[in-house]
Amino acid sequence: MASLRVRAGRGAEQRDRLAVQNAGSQASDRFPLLVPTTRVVTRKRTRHVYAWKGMLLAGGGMNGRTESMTAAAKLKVSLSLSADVLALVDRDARRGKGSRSSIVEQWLRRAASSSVEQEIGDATAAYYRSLRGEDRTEDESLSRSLSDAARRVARGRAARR
Amino acid sequence: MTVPVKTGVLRRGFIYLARLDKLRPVLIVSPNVRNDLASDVIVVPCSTRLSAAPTHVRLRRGEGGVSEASVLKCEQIATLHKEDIRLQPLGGALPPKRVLEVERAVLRAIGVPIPLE
Repeated sequence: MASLRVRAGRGAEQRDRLAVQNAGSQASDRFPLLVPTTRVVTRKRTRHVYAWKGMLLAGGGMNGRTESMTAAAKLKVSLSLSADVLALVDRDARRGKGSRSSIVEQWLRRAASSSVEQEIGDATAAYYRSLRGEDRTEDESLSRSLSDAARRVARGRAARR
Repeated sequence: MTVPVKTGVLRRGFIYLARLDKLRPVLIVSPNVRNDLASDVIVVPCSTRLSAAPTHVRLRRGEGGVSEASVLKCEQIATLHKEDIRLQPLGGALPPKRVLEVERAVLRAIGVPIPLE
């Protein structure tokens, strides 16, 4: 099994561009229960990061090919899906869009995000529709004064140029 | 832990009075490095009209030094010139939990789908 080498950059910019390499024969070859896991970032050292396979499996973790070293911890769950839905998942998997798990996760994330957007949109619309009398007046006068303040900031910047 | 009140400088997480439509409390949300070096700061204005909205964060009376229960109107986040702000904070820093609520509400205000609490 290939081990994972995480090389830390020297500066802040480099840190964002960590080189993650498959380094061939490493500790996991000698200790098969050790598998590479998430990265550890240190400024000065190159570190090999491992975890016990058993622990990773218990957490439903990243057994098999590890594509992203920054992935959040995963939990293994069992779901029942209708055959037609599973066929759609498998169709995307065949098209190289990822594993079953990652495809289902993408879809769920998209659906959850869309539901949150809807909820926020409804609540925001309800707020603005509910504005009456003094509430609306205050909202408008605050907006105007903030615009004036923004213009003053812009004028100040222009004057400094 | 109470964060000591600093005077003469504008600090993130503290509430100050700003000259807007009237003298109004504002929460500074810009980072301190910017507050020290730029001539302006990013603020979230406060209102005592306690209307609920996904982008509003409630403050209890006394929190951050506000004299009565208020809301931070994160949809009206703005950049103000330092000259428009009184340098003396109204009180201590807002608790980190409240600041986090503000950050989430600001994100909601710009369309990031942050779930409602």
